[in-house]
Amino acid sequence: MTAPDDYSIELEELTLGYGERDIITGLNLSVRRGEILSLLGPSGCGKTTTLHAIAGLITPRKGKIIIDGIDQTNVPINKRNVGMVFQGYALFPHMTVFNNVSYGLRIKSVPKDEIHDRVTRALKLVGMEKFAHRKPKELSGGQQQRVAIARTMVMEPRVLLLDEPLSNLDAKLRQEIRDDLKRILRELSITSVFVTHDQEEAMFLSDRIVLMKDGEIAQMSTPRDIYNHPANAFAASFLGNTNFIPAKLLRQSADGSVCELNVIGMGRVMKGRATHSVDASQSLFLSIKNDRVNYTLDRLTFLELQGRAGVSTMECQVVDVHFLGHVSKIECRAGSQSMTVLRPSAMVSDDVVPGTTIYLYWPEEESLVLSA
Amino acid sequence: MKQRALFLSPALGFIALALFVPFAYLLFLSFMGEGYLYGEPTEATLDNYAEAFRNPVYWESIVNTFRIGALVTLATLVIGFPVAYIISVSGKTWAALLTVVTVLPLFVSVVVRGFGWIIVFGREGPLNSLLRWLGLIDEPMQVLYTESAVIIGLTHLLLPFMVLPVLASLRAIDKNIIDASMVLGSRKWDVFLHIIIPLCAPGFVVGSLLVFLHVLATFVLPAMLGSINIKMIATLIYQQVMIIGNVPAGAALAVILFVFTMLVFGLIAAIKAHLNFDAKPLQENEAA
Amino acid sequence: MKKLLSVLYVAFMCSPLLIVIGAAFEPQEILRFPPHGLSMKWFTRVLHDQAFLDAAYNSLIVASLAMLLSLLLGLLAAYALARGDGRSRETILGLLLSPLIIPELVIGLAILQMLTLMNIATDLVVLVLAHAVICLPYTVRLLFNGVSAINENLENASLVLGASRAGTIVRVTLPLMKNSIVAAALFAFLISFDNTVISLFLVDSSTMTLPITIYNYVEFSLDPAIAALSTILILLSCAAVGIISSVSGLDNVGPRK
Repeated sequence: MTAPDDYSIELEELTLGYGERDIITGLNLSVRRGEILSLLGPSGCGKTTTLHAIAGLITPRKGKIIIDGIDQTNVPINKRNVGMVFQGYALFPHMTVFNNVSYGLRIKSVPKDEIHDRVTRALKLVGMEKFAHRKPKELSGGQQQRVAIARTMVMEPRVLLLDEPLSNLDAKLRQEIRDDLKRILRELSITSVFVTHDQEEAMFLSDRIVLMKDGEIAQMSTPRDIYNHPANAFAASFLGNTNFIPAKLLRQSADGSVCELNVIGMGRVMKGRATHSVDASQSLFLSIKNDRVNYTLDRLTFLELQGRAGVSTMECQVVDVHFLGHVSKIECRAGSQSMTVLRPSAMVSDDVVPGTTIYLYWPEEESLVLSA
Repeated sequence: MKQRALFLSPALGFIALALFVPFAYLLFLSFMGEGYLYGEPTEATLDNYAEAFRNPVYWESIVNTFRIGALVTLATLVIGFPVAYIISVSGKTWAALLTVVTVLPLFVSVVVRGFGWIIVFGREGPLNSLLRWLGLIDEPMQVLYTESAVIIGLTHLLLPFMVLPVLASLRAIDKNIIDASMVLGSRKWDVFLHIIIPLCAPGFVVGSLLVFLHVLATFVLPAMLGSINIKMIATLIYQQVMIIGNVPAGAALAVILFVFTMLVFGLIAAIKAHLNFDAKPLQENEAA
Repeated sequence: MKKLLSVLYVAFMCSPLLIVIGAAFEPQEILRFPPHGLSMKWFTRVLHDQAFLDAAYNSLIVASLAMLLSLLLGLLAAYALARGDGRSRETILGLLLSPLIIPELVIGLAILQMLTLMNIATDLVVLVLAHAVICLPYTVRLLFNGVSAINENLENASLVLGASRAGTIVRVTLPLMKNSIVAAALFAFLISFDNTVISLFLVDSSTMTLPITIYNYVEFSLDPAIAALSTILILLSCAAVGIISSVSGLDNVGPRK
C-alpha cells in the first residue's frame, strides 16, 4: 500500500472548463514520486487542460490539486515551483541560452556567482554548456528542448511537466530526441508528467500511461498492461492494432473470465476472455490483435483447426495485401466483417492475392471481450 | 488574467470622462434655448433641431455639403479605383512607391496641405501658369475661394480613404478565381467586368461612405480654400458656436452630424457582413 | 498607359507638398512657384520668430505628453484585451476606438463646452488630454496587434519560472514588441502634432500650437515664411513615415477597414 507521501501529485475530484463547457469533471489521479507518467489521448480529451491545471495556468472550478502534500489549488502560477516545458519550448528569443536558463534565478535575486554555478551545472546536465552564449534561433529543435529542460531544472522544481515534447519535430529527429529525453528524465529521477497524442511516444517514455477520452480516464496502467489487457475497445484501438468483432453476450463462466458470444451478423458463437468487467446489456466486441491472427490457405488444415478446442476460426476473402517492409498487412472480409492480419513478410507467400479464400485462426484465450 | 479589469479601467475611464461625458453634456445643450448659457431660464425644446430643416441658411449649408460630398466621392472613385488597381497589379517597388505617395499626405497636417493648394490656385500660381502656357486660357482664373478649389482640395485630402479600402478588396480576391475563369475561356475584359469589379464592391462602398462622411465633417480645408463663400455644415457649426455664440444651435447641428455618421458606419458594418465573398468551404458538420 | 496614369497620380498627390517646399526658397516676399531664385532667408526668419518658436514648443510638449499618455493607457488596455478572457472584447474595443468615427468637430465642441461648464481655462494640460482622446484608438489598435503577435507560451513560461505578471510584461512582452511601440508612439505623436480641428476649439493665445499658427497666419498674409515653416513640418512627417514603415510597415495605416 503506497502511503500518501509517496505521491508527488494528487488530483481530487478535479473539474475544469473554459467558458460554458466543462472539459473535465470529477477527475481523480495520483502520480507516484519519481515516475514518468503520460496523459495520452485524442485531441479534445482534456489531457492538455489537465496539465495546464497542474501548472496553474487554469484555475479548477471544483476539486483539489495537491503537490508534495500541499494544496496548490489556489496558489498562483508563479508560486507553485513546478517546472514546465511548453510545446515549441518557448525559449525567450531575445535572450541568450545562459540568460534563458538563469531567468528564474534572476527573478529571485539569487547572487551572481550562485547563478553562474547553477546555470553551468544545469547546462552540463543536458549537454549544452558550450552553447551558453547562443541565441535560441541558432539552435536545432533538440537543442532547444534541452535548454528548455535546463531552464526548468535549474529552479529545482517539485515536478516536471511537458506539453507534447516531441510533436513539432519530423519523424527522424523525433527518434533521436526521444532517446535523449528518456535518458535525461531517468537521470533526473524527478516526477514527470507529459502530454502526448502519440501512443508510441507514450509507450516508449512512460512508466505509466493515463489514457483519456472525453474528459475521463479510460484506463491507467503500465504500457504493457494496457497493450495486453485493454479495459475497453477505445484503449485497445488507441494502443495497438486490433480487430474488433461486434457481438452480444450469451453466457459467462462463474468467475466471469470466459465468455460465449453471439457474433452479430454471422450467426455463430465464439469464445473469448474477459479481463475487465463486461456490461452484458451493452454491445460488446470480441477483439484480437492484428499480429496474433494466423492464416492458412489450405482448406483441409482449416477443417482440422475448426474441430480443435481452444481455437477460433474465420473464413474470409482477401481484399488487399500491403507490403510494409518487415511486416505485411493482409486485409480480408467475411461478409460485412473486416479483418486485418499482420505477419512477418517472410511468412506471407505470393499466393495471397485479392480474391483468394483465406482461413484465419487464433487462440481463443487471446480474444479479449471488451465494452465499447 | 486576474488584473484584466485593472488594466482596462484607466483607458475606459479616460474615454468615458474625456469623451462620453462631454458628449452627453453636448446632447443636453442641444435641447436648451439659445440663452441657456447666458443665464436665461429655459426649458427643453426641439427648436434647435427643427431649425436645421426650417432655416434656409442651415438647409442651404446641408444641401451644399451633401452636393460637394457627392462630387468629391465621385472624383475619388474615378481616380481612386484605377490607382488601386494599378497598385495591385504592379511589381513590389512600384506598388510600394504608389502606396507611400498615397499614405504620406495623411501624415502631414491639413493646414500645410491646404496652404499648398492656396499657392497652386493663386492668380500667379502654377495652375494658372500651366493653363496659360498650354494656351487654354488668356487671363488668370479665379480658382481660389471657389467651389472647384474646395472640391479639388478635398479630393486630394480624401483619396487615401478610397484607395486603401479598394486596394484591400482587390488584394483579397483570390488569384485562383481569375486563373480559373481564364482557363474557362473568359477574355480579360470579361474577367474585369464580371469578376473583379463585383468582388471589389465592398471596397467601393466602404471607400465611398468614408469619403462622404469626411466631407460632411470637414472644416479646415473648405475654410482655407473656400473662405466664407462655400457654406458647409462644419463651418456653420463653428460659426454658431464660436462667432455668434448660440451654442445650443451648434450643438444640435453637431448631434445631427454625429447621428448621421453613426448610421453610416452602421451601414458600412452591415454591408461588409452581408457582402462576405469569402469562399471558404464549410466545416464538415456545418454543411447540410 | 499604367505608367502614365501612375506618374500623373504621383504628381497630383505630391504637388501641393512639393510646391510648398519650392515656394519656401523664394527670395522675394511673394508666394510663388517655381521660386525665382534660391534663398534660405525665410527659414532663418522662421527659426528666429518668437511666435513660431513658442508655437513649435507648445506643439512639441503637447504631442510628447499626449503620446506618452495614450501609449500608457493604450498599452494597458491592449494587453488586457489580448491576454484576458474574451468577454465583451468587441464592445470594449468599440468603445476605445470610438473617437475614430466621431467627427473631430463634435469632439472638440463637446470638450470645449464641458470646460466652460466646469469653468476650466484652456491650458496645455487640457490640450494634452483632448489630443490623447483621438490618439488612443491608434495606440490601442497598434499595440493590440503587437501583443497578439507574441506567443502566449513565452509569457506562460515566464510566469511558471516565478515572474509576476508585471515582471513578465517588462522582461518578456515589451522587449519583443519594440516595433509596435515605436510605430504607436510615432502615430500618436504625429496625430497630436498635426491636429487642427480640436485645437481650433481649444487654443487661445497662450497655448498656440503650430498648425493653428499657420492657419491664422494664412488668413491674413501669404508669404514664404509659412512655406518655410510648412517645409520643416513636411520633412518631419517624412522622417516619421520612414521610421514607421521600416519598423512595422505601412499596412496598419489608414481608415478603419
